[in-house]
This record gives sequence, C-alpha cells and structure tokens, in this order.
Amino acid sequence: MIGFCYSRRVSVGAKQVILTQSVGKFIHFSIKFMKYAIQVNMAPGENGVSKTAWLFIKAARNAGHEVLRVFFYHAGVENAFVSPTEFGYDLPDWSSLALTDGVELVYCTTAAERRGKWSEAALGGFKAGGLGLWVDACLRADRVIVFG
Amino acid sequence: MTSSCLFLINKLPESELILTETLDALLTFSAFDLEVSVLLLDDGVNLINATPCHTACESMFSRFMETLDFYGIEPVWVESESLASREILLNPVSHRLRLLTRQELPAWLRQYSVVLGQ
Repeated sequence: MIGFCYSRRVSVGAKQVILTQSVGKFIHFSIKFMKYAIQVNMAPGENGVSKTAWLFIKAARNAGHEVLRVFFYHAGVENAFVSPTEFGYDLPDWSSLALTDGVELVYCTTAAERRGKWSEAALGGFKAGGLGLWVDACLRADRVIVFG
Repeated sequence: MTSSCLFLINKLPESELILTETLDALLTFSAFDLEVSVLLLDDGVNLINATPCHTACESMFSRFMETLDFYGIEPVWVESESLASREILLNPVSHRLRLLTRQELPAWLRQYSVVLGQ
C-alpha cells in the first residue's frame, strides 16, 4: 500500500513543511519556507540589477517563499516611476508583481524627492513610505537581501 | 527578534547623496533601539582616504564620523587587509576606528542578525 502523509509545522521565524512519503521505504522531505525582505538600490536598466531582483522575487514566490516587502531606496526609487513599456529594452514589470501577485512594493519618499520625483505619480502597485517600513520588514524577515 | 544590524560599506559612495541616504538608513535602525555597527571593507575603505586628491572623500568621512558620533554609533570597524592593499594611512579620526583582519571577519559577522550591504 502506498501511503502519503502530509504535516505542516510552524516553527519560530519560518514555516516548516515536512512531507513524509512511504513507497516501500521512507523518503523524508523538509522544506523551510522563508520570509524575505528585499531592498532594490539601482534604477531600472542599470546593470540589470533591478531585473535580477524581480526575477529572484518571482522565483522565490514560485518556490513557496514569502516576500514581506520590497523596499526601493537610493536610485532604486526610479523603478516606481519608469514604466517597462517606455523603453525598448527589457525592464521588470514591478506593477504586475504588486497588482497580480500581491507583493508589497514601497519606495522611499525622501529618496524620490531628492531625485526630483516629488510631483510625479508613481506607477500602479507602488506605495510611498519611509525607512521605518524597511526596518519593520528586516525585523520580521528570515532573510534580508539587498540588490545593488 | 533582530537585535543587531551591520552596515557593510564595500564601495566608495558615488556621491554625497548616497552617503547621506546611507546615514539616514543607519540612524533609522539605531532609532529602533537596534545595536548598529559599521564595517568598511574593500573599496569602502577609500572613504577614510585622506590624501589631497581625495579631499571630497575626506570631508564626506568627517561628516560621516561626526554623525555616527552624535548618535553614539561607534566604533567603526575597518578591515585591515583592505587598508593595506590600497596603501591607505589612517587620518586623525582613526582613534574611533577598530581594525579587523580578514581572517577574523567570518566569525565576527555571525554575531549580527542583519547584514546590509550599501
């Protein structure tokens, strides 16, 4: 008889899912789902950093991980104002990540103002916020990754 | 719960704007009662370069150190091999700097809950 046992265990800091499968012998899988806080510091198209961050987030979410917040800082705030359709080359579609996948995208208002973005409207899915939100994400995350 | 945060500066800030924003981030973390430390590594040690051709860096560094001092964030850690390979001599504020060897670095980094590259 082939048995399949699935149990979900929540541990401190991270969800841990343990799958136990019995097919003659026991195979034990242990997958730890992480909570990520991501910071993006480069403008779109700059060394492809922003695209790498976007691909990482997509891959992490597809693998079952949670992205608590993506915080755009330094020149990274430009991502909130440059539509991927404006340029001929391949830019990450951040808005769809927020609007379709529900990832929280926050750009630093002070960094945006310093780059003359105080009067422009941000793209759909982006929220204006401060560094406090970045600290909050770092405190709640299992892993913190800075791109750029 | 995170209790300590390390800001790792491994390149010279491209402008004063970047340095200002790095300081903003650093001070925000310290305002949340987190233990904040700073490490200058690789090209980040150019921040303390006091040679005449780097006067802009020198003024940036003085301001950087003054701000950290004001918020009680010290010492600033510097990786010694990075200094040596760039032949950088420490300037008068060097008494607020602590040296760390590359060998000590991995074990030393483990004490921090969050390490942020800038």
